[in-house]
Amino acid sequence: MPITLKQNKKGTFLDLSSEDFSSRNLLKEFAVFTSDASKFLAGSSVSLIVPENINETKNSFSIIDEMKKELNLNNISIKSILSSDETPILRAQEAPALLQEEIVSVDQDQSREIIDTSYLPETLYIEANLRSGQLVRYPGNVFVLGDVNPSAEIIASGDIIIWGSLRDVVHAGANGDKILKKFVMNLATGQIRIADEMLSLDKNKLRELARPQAKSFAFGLIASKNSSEDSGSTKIPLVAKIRNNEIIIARYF
Amino acid sequence: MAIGKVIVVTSGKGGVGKTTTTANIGAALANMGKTVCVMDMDIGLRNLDILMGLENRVVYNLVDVVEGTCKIKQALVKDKKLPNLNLLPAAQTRDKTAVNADQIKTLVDELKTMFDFVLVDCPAGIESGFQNSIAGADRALIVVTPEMSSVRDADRIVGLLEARRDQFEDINLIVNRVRPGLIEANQMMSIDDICDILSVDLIGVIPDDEDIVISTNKGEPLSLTTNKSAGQAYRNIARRILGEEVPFMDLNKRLGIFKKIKAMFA
Repeated sequence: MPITLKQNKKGTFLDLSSEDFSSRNLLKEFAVFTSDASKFLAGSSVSLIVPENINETKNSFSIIDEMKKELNLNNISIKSILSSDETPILRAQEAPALLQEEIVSVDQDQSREIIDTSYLPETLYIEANLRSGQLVRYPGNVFVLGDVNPSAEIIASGDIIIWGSLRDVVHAGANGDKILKKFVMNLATGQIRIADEMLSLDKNKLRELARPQAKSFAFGLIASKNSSEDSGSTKIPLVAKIRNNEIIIARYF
Repeated sequence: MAIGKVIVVTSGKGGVGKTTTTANIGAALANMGKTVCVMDMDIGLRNLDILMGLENRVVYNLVDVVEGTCKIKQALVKDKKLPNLNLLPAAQTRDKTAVNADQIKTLVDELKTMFDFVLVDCPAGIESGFQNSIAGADRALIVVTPEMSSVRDADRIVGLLEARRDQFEDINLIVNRVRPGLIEANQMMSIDDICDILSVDLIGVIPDDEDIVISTNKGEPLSLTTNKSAGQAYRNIARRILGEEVPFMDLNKRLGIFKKIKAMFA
């Protein structure tokens, strides 16, 4: 039987329960399968379902090890190794050292739900200021711990979070996803783009956002204290999102 | 033999005061007893020789040195007043493609063995002139004026320098042509705004001073005069380069009295 790919709420599974782990062709078939599957599984993690009697098969752990290497070559990681009824089968002391991390996580409290994060987009973490002329394109979320200076650009298919000042154009949801947001600590830019919507901000609009309607406390932050009316920047955390096909900007707190 | 330091003076934008800064800081360092070479990398559009008042003494230039037409010492022009200050002029009849980064690196490596400081006057832009100028530099001074166009170009330069962060011991900022009155009236970017955007350590603030224009035309660096404004600011930068802690000049002092009078009538 061919290797079966299954996906449910608990995650993605490669069902090898019907495979003969003593067969020499298994690894070759697995390599071909993994190469094809990498087109849509790359960057995610999968669980292997192995036969119940795998402990009795000679060299089974080294075969699993080879499978792991093959998956890693195609940018797929192993989340866990389970028996055919999707319960953990391998105990830590029986597993090769390389598999310890997966086995240990499965040995923990079985009543806890393992959250499948494989569908979440990857996040690029940048701990630097983005300078004029620098361009970041990323098929996921982008988190910048620093400023995004004039003429720097970020184009992301996911959310963009800037823990600093945004002074130029960033484009979230570049692949068209409108349920995306930008969180910005200090908004001083003239243009916001989310998916295919665009909002231009002139200095008056920025001043309006900077001017708080009333003093307010939020987690110890006094909203009126940090605004700068004349410079056109806000210095208050803001979020830009799409509502009714229009980009709106609101205070985060 | 002690190895000197190579400091590149750059900006991105043209006309912000790189050449003036190079000449004045070089003269100030030489006046403090250091051996200094100021090197003009603006091949085809040289100006450093004019600011130093040495335009009539140029025989060979750095392109001649790189091409092997002459030795370094033959191309160096000694300053009229300070014997420990030398100029390596650029070629006026060639362009920036006449040299490459490796050649300049070899040249500055040799100059480092001859001088305590080599100040490289970088041309405007980010192309080969800039790339050649930063080859072999240990430290960078970025000159910016309080205008958004200058700040944006400087930001580009900072990004390019940060990509080579291992090469540079320090990257510092000089804000030139500051007019405190305009800053006070919110008609000019403040020093804080500039530092906030560029996130580079400030090493000097040069007030706008018409004596700079006069000194340029005379060919006498202002830092060698008793000028208490821009001249003093350049001397302070030279002292900071030497590691001395020098407080920044209070450029608002002159306005102080008027402010107090204004406040009385407010």
